[in-house]
Amino acid sequence: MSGDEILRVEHLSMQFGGIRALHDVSLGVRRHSITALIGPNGAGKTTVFNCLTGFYRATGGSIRLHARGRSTDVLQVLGEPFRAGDFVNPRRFASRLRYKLFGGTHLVNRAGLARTFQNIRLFREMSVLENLLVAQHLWVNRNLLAGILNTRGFRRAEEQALEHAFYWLEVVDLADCANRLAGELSYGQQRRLEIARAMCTRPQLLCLDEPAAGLNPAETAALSRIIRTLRDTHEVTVLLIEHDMGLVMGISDHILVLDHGELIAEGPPAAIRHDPKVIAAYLGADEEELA
Amino acid sequence: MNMPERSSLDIRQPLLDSVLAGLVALVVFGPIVGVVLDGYGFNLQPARVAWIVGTVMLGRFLLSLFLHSASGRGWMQRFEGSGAGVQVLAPDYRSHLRWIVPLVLLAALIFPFFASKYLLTVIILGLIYVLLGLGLNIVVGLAGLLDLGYVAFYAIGAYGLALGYEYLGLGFWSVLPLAALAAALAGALLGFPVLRMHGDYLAIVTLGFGEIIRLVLNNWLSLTGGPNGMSVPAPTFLGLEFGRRAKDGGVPFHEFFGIAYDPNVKFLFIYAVLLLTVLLVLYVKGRLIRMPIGRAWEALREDEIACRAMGLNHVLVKLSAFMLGASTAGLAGVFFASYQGFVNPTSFTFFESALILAIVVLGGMGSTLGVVLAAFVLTVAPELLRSFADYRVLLFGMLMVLMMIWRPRGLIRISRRGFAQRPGVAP
Repeated sequence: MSGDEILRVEHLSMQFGGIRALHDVSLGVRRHSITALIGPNGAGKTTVFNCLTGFYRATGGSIRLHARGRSTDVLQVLGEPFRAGDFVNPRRFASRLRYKLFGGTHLVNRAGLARTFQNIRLFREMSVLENLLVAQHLWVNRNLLAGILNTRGFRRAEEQALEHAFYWLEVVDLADCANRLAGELSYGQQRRLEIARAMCTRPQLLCLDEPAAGLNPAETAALSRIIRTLRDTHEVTVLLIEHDMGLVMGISDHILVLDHGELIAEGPPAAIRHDPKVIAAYLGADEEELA
Repeated sequence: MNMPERSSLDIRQPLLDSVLAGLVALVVFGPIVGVVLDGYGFNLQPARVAWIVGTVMLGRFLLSLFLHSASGRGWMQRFEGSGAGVQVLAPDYRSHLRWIVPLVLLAALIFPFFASKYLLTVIILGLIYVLLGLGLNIVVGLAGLLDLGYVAFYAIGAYGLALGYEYLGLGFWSVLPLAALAAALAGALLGFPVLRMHGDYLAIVTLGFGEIIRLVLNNWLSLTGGPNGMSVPAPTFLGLEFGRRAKDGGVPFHEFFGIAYDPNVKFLFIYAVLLLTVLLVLYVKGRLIRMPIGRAWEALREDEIACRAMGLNHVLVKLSAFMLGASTAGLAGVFFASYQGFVNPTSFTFFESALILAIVVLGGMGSTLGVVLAAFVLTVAPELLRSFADYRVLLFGMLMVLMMIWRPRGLIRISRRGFAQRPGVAP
């Protein structure tokens, strides 16, 4: 079964000074599934996300991403501190040094994981298309000389990038906004643009942080259609944090429930809906009832 | 929008404005102009104060009257409307610049035949600042890294020529690329450890770096000659020198071509090479902003965290901006040194960094045309207005304040390129 997992997290823990945000969280995300991570406010959902996507360096545990035909250790590519053993093993030392100097969050993205942000982070003063072109940075012709001389190969690569950008704009239904500034789009459009931008990095695992926050019901319905399309026709795996239970129950195959930094339940939507622990976490429960 | 009350011009508001301005003028100018020290005593000069306050009140009254009229309102709206940031151009938009640029080029070509030596040197200075402005524009305007020590790279270029000539016997042409390389290398050396910092911290570190370079140049007497400076060789054209007599037996330029000796020729030559360099840098910059690397710089300015989530290595992106900006300053430094024929550390003070930064801010962050215009405004105008030399910095400050009020985003509104709609293709 684990061979079919795109992401495997073991005993993840995260500590901010004296505050223990996550404690021994182990979870797996199956390939081509839509998995939701839910939990009450402050449960540590976004912390899990930031650890997975490399924005936080987890204080313990391991995160392995199996995408793009290889297995990536997220903690390793972020750059780990040197250990005593490294100084006698030159190869390990070199790899540590390399990741310390040039490693970082961007390598997690290059390993096939893209994310969106809870508070939208678009390049606001760039046009919608340029936002998508930036995201395709690794797939265009980055040769300085070719670009300055504007060679045919460079123009072809740019043209291709534009065509892909328009493709994703059509998927998220923003094609008529291509030449507007990203910052002047409406809230719902910005959310969709962020998903398109994440998809432009050609990920295999897409992490959406509260994609439906602030959307009206029609926009939420459109969003769930888009998420399904991404999974069905583009073969990405989707992991999302969401508070909108209608959306979560409607589209996810698997739900993980987090409370107080610990995983309290997981399973298909039908099971989670009736899980007493989940209900207790959301609604509160009498002490004796839990015991 | 018709305004019926427009017919009767409201006179009360302008009167009130002018009285207020008069009071402020009285407070400001009263002690400065009205009290003139005379030994240990002082003379009161009420007439002078009255004149100044009267002028201010009249001026404020007229301005206020104008701004309350219909045409004045139109003006205000134009000013306020154009301050609104960034626009995306239509895909088929063609700039009016395609008419203006050839004309400017033509003017630049015939200009040296009519200009005096003084005017020529002023324009050379202007072009040097265009180079500096373009370089800093990459760092500050595009990549959004506040660099207050930019003059250090300028100094590296200038001293590169002086030191290269003194110790290695290198000339203008060999130093020109080497200085760009050396400055870029210095940029990388400074950049790699400090580019993990943000905003204000980066500004302070770069400020320190600028001062370190200047202090080293000032104090390393045995190498750089300290405050006495160093002399710099004149450039050569295919090995021909521009002096009256060539050194060690060569043939000077004028004898080779059989023309009369003219001391201007050296400046003409620098002008020509500098103009070509500026055009080249303008072209390269124009390409860079349409290339992945230019887009990455701007994305980094907009949101560094999102950039990292897109797989961009933010350190390398910043470093490339820093190095390219620095190399442009290195080029400018070589031209500056050979134009002056002499370098010393006083040319590379913090004020110079501030001036270059002012060029970038005045022109509009990221706008190429704006930077070119601002560089000329800020370097050529003070030269032409020599008689006001004492008020230079004052005017400078006033200009900045006016800018902040009316054009907070720079003289030239930033336009982004639009793309024609095309059918999407799945990756």
